[in-house]
Amino acid sequence: MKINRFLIALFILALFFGLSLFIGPTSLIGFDILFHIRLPRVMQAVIVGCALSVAGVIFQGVLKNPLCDPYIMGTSSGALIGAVLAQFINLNQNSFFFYILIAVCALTATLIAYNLAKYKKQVSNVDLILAGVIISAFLSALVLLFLSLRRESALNIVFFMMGGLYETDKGLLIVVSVLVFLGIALSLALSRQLDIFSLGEEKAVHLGINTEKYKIIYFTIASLITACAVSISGTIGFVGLVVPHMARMLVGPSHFKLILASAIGGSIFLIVADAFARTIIAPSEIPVGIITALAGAPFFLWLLLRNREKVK
Amino acid sequence: MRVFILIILLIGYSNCFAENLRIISLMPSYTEIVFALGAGQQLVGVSNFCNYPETALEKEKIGDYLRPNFEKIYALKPDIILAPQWKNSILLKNLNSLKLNITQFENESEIDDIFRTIAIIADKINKKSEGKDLIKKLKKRLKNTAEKKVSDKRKPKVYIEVDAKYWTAGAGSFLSDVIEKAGGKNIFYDIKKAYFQTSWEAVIERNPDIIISLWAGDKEYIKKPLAQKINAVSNSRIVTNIDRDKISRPALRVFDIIEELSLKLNENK
Repeated sequence: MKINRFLIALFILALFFGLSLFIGPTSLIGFDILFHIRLPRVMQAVIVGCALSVAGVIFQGVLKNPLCDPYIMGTSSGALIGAVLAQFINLNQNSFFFYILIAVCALTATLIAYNLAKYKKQVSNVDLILAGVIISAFLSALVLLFLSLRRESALNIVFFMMGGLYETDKGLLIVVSVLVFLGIALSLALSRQLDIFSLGEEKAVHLGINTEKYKIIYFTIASLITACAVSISGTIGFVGLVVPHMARMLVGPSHFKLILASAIGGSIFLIVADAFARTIIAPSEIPVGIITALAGAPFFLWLLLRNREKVK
Repeated sequence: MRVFILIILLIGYSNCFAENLRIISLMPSYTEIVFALGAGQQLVGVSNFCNYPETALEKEKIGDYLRPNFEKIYALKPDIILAPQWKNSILLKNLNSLKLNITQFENESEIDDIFRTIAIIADKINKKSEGKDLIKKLKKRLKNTAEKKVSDKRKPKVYIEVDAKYWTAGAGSFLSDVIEKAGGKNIFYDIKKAYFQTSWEAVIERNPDIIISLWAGDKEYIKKPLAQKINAVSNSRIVTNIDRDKISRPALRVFDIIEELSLKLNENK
């Protein structure tokens, strides 16, 4: 039964994958356009969707907080400041170091937030979220400061903030997909411990889990795959927040299933959003981050209201 | 005799008065035009973006047109402020409440609008005849360029990339008209949006003969997927070293660009 459902989900993913290949701003559909332009782009959507959703599952699972995602944790602000730094030292957006810088900054921001929240070798969840919000706010202020000082390069940063799937270097795409799939595999392997985490940290300690060690491992995985996604597509919001919730409604709280379902669900969500982004007003394009936010925010609101009714 | 001297003095005084207009320009294009009309020394304040001619750099900076520094403007006691149209902004109301004399201009969306701007500025700063001469000269240059034009069907198709991630200019934009005046045809002439984001796919489909990039070098385009399918790339007709200020400011130097582009668009034809 479990295998069956998984296969059905994969089949749906393949279906959307195939369909979205044939949707686009051009009327001519040649093999070349499909293979060289649409295919890498849909691949990119799959990888970014996977990465952001799985990172969301991990953050939410470890922190036992359903409102957590890479954006609240300061990870994506870190990536953004990386992009700003690159502008500052005149690093070309096409150079490989640009992406490394972004990944390093994203990881650093998350670790700073984590260490800020750490007190007497304990990390409380509330502190962590507060630290994440503080880091995000501070880094956003830095980004805005940069924008007001260097207005000539402001546009580049704004594009990056809006997020979109534009063709990237194929080598980079391969590196990123390998990293993301390794991260997902690793988190699948560690999903049992994540289940125990969601019982509450105290219980996890009593069940013999070194919670601090695992927290760092999980955060590293989540930050790394987020940074991968952000580095090829800019900041795309709401995927990491919405998809894990949808997945939880479908497959329940077991993290092994949840990670698989989120990975597939995230891919489908982003494929569909991107198909909209490039066709609605073709030959113009809308950055896909705007579409995900437009679709994601009302969904999230509905989720909140629904939970409220349940509590009553 | 006394009366005569008095008249001379009066004339001298009024001339002196006219010469001493204190002008503030909030746009680089207005600054360039004021200088071209020979009234550069009357400019007492310019925007942070005004960098041409070089003497404009020595003028007092009053911020930019979206966020002008009110205190500085007021302290400079301008007789005339040359400003663009502000949309959805209380700036104009606030400037008016300081009892300042503001002249506003419509946005220039095509080359011909530059003549309108020049005429208004010349009128306001008492340089009418200079203004007329300038407009005549520019119109003549434009006509000389236009004479080399070919029929509409044989015009080279041009894709202009303003910024990274395929930001381009559509119908009704200033840059689109620059291409037109230089004898080219914008591949997005049918899209009724001034500036918008397109995709590489759409560029391939519309197959431009020439690519004008305001932000990158030609290598950027050669390495893109299916680049060789585009005439501009396979014939290596990618124009990259265009001065951004010159082409995007509705002032005088854009006429140099039109002449320069017209040569590039019509070579080998």
